[in-house]
Amino acid sequence: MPGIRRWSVLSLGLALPTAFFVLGPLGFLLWMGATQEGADFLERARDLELPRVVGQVALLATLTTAWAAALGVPLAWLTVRTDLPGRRLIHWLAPLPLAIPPYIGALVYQILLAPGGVLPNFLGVTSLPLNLYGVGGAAWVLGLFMSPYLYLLVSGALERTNPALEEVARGAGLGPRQVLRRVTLPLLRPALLAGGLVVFLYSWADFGVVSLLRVRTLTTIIYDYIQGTADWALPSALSILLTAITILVLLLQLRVLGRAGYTQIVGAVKPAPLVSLGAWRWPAFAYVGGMVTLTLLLPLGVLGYQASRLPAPAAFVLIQWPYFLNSLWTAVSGASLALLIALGVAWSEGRGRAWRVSGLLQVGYAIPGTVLGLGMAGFLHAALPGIYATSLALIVTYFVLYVTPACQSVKAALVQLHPSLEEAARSLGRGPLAAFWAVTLPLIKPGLLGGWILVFVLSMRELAATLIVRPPGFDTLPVRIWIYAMDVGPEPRAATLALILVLTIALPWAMMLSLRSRGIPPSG
Amino acid sequence: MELLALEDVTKRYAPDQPPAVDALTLTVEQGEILALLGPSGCGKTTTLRLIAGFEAPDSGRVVIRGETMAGGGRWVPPEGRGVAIVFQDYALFPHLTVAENVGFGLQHLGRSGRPERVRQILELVGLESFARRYPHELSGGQQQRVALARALAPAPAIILLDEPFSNLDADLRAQMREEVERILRDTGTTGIFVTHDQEEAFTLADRVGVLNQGRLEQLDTPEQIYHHPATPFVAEFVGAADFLPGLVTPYGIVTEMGVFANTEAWKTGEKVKVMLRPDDVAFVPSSFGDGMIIRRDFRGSETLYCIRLPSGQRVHSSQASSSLYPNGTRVRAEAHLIHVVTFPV
Repeated sequence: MPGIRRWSVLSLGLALPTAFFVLGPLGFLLWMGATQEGADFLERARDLELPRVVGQVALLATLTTAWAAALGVPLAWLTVRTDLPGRRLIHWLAPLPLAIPPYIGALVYQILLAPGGVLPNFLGVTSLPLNLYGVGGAAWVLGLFMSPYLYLLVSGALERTNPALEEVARGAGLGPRQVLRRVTLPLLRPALLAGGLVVFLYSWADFGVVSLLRVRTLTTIIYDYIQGTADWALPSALSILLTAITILVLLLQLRVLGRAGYTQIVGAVKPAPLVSLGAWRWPAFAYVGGMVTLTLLLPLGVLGYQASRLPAPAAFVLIQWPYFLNSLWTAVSGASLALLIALGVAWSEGRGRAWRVSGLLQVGYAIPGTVLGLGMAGFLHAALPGIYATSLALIVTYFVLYVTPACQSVKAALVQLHPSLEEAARSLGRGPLAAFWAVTLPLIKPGLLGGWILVFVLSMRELAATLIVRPPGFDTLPVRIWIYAMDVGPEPRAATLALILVLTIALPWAMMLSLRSRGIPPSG
Repeated sequence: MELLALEDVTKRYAPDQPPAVDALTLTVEQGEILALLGPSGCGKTTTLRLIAGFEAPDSGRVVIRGETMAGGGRWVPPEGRGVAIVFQDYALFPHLTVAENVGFGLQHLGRSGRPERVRQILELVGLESFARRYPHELSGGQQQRVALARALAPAPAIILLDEPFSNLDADLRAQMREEVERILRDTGTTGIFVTHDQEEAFTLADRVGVLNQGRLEQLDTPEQIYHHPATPFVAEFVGAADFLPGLVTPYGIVTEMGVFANTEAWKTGEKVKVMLRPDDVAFVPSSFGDGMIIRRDFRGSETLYCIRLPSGQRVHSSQASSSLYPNGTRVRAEAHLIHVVTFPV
């Protein structure tokens, strides 16, 4: 059909620049890493105790994943499937801690537990017997603030599971506990795996928490090298190592899911009957309340308390105002760019006649922020010196890092739209663009808004890549918070900025969570 | 006047698969209602989509009002064809009210002319009071009427209906069928609809095209399709049919159930099969009869008996619902054929 050519031109026009900015940084790292001589690298790896570091990061990622699962999975089951008191409120509150970046979580626990902190002062001791600085503390913080990811994926899967499957199992003579063990949990495996993977890879590549809590990892070593020396070769080689292991884990997941990829049942006919908790109602409520306290109320309270100790807050905020604006406008630009490209990619791919660009985009999502920051800085320095060390570089970095979630949001919105709607508009005299404008766009608006907010929030809180790519003197809120916390410690200035950042993120994030539950009524 | 012509239209979705529509040729007259009838996967929906312009033919031409829409190097996009479509799922725009849905195709009328036309069309389908409602606030039948109104509003040359009644309850279906026919006849609109329900095709259409595996098996009036099916496939698809083996002799076609007239001038000695509809077959219970009732299906308005003949051949007989004979009853079966339809073996 004429029109095929137009789609390919559109998708090619999207594919080429995107490929340039996604593959360029990777190519740079591979090229720089290759200049590192093998023997030389092995010697320096020994100096850095690389095997020990990798083992330590693996331990951290494993502990974090287990801790996040222990927190998020029971919470999901309790809110979706039981008569837990206040379950609707909890369902809305549980994903909210994602507005608190884990490095701010680390800051909160520093304020609370570090020597000279709130708790030691209250108890009248100089330091507590438990040590926050180390793998244990980092896993505690990361697991706590990553658990909402698992909650979101598992509660979504629980809502979509067809209750008839469980009823069949009951009919076959299984008791409620056996049904949970032999039907419900196995059906959740894809969601558990996907959620566990997100948490594992995030903590594996985390920079903010581990740097604040003084855990030596690949990312902190890379960052120290970039800061301390003009040497590109070793950090590039380490980045390739970091990325290679990330990709290995992703491939492993594909293998496991590939076989057990029973996609979840489409649209449950009716919601599953709620399990009565009976005497366990209030213990369960206490558990859930404890989680909300630890992940939401306590951090906000601690940040608020610490911020209130700031002398002359108005003057301080006024001085910091430009950094807030830096954060805001780069995140807004990054989110808008990502959404625009995502819309083009998702729309042309939805027509089934386009180049598959979204697979390429996913590469950017899989690369850790530290690595992409390094690659992007080096690549722009070599290929586009006009952009290097400008705020534009930051926007491109946010785009490459987070275009995939935007793409997923747009695709999810488009999938729900039956093609007959656009066809009906065409047969009523509208051209392809007019039909898109009059029918498709208004109907996918909530999805677009959700995707935009997601990228905005992620860019707004991005720390590692921003630290590396930003132009000299161009600080964002996360950068300021991190510098204060690293240089001076968990003091009121860092806490004040952290509070401002959290509130800025929380507002659109809460809006998106309410959007999630409100769909367009179906036409059929 | 000939409004639509499909000339040798072929559409293949994948090179290694048989064509979805295979060398289809048909014409539709102004004001006619045509039904495309066939089992699922026979290519009837693809045919609609080729006419509407959502698919392009691999070969052949689509001609509307004498103007080539597709084929021979020409391509007119859907918005330029003046062909409206009512989808199986109605495809009402959920973000627009009923009035806005109906007015969607009336951009050429401008702000002043549109409300009048919308009101007029809504009146035609009996939904004047629902103009400000949203689609999800309507029942299934009302949604269908909105879809029809929206398609009719721009006064299209042809209106295409894709399985239009399949989402409705049985009693509503009959009512909507009548109403759609009235509206199409009143407005003089040419309609083409696809269905897998032969009763729907027969009651609504002037002519019925039976499709099988992308090919047009027969295009004719409902009566001809039923009484003179062109192929065994058509015979079996529209209503039940048994085929009785017969031998052509100078005296007629000799079968187990008697001799039938050789109306189709087969040569003596040829073997043929004679089509029997259940309403062609009668029987009387008789202890000397050589047939036996082996199955009885009570269907409300009729009772369908399956009778085994001495050769093992089975034939079906439709009787009044008050007729009650148990399985195993010996019967003498007779066939009374008004039209003798025969096929080569």
